[in-house]
Amino acid sequence: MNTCKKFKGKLLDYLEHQLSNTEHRKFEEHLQQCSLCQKEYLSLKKLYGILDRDEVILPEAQFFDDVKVTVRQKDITPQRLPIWKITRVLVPVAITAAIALLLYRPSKTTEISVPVADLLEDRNIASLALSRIVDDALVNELTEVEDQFMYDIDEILDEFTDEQKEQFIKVLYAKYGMGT
Amino acid sequence: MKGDEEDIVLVRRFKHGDEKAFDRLFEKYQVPLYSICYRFSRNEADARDLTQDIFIKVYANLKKFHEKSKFFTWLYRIAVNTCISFKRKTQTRQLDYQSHQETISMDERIRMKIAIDDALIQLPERQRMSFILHHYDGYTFDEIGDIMGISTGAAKANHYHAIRKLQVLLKDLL
Repeated sequence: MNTCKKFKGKLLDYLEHQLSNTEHRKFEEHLQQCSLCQKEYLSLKKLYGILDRDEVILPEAQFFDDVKVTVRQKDITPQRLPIWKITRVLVPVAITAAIALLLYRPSKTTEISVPVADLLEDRNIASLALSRIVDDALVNELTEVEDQFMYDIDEILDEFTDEQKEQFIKVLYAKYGMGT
Repeated sequence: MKGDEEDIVLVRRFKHGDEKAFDRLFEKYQVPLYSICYRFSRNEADARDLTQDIFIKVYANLKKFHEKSKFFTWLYRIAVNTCISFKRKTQTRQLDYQSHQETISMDERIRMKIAIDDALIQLPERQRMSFILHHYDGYTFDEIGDIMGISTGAAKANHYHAIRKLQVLLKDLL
């Protein structure tokens, strides 16, 4: 934007009434004296005028009525979460778990009744293990992923390869110091 | 009753099986959401498809809405994500549409509309969405940040860059 350096960035705020009273008054005083800012101000005002002429022609009422019916007929399957998105959650957890394990290695491990082999083969057991083992923070993180991306974590577990599941379970085991 | 409180009441009623509560939410947001879809896609057919896709997702997922954010933030987040991913899939179609426009003979009003269409569609998607939400829908940069999952500063920067580009793209009309 071709404003003078002193008031760089203020012009848009001025146009949108985002400046404080003092800043607004100062900028108005400046505007009366600065030809560069005046030119830019007029250009932006004209741009806003053009953009304000952009009209949306709404569809006929029948369209919305049809959509209202359609949404109830569609059985949508949640989209699959790309691995990188779940990894974005799990990698920090894994790092934290590794550090925590190094610093606070438990003297005694807790037995759980489900063998790792079963966990890896059965997504429901993996999911159950997840719900029993993980802490509130991780549950919140996973819930946020579900909310934000509309995915079901069970579906994601289902999509994991054996190797990824193993890694996932290892992270949980490492974090909570559990043995098999 | 404030807008969001009213929304939450409707959401809870829907969760308890009241289908009419969904209809009330639908009717409240149908025009604002269609307008965003149209302004983003610059294409009526795409806007219809997008609006339908958004409401299908909303209906299918409303029971999973945990009320951790305002309802409109959750709703607009679905709208923004749907618009941005939809345009990625249909980029070629958009280019065909643009080249077709060049052959249309037009009066001043149509010329203006096409110029705005061409300019807006050239903005990067996130800048375009930030600009639409702020300029046309009046959302604050805080709200846009929440909706788009970016900081307030990033939302403001998106808007600033969008305006700067629009100034260049529409320079013949200024």
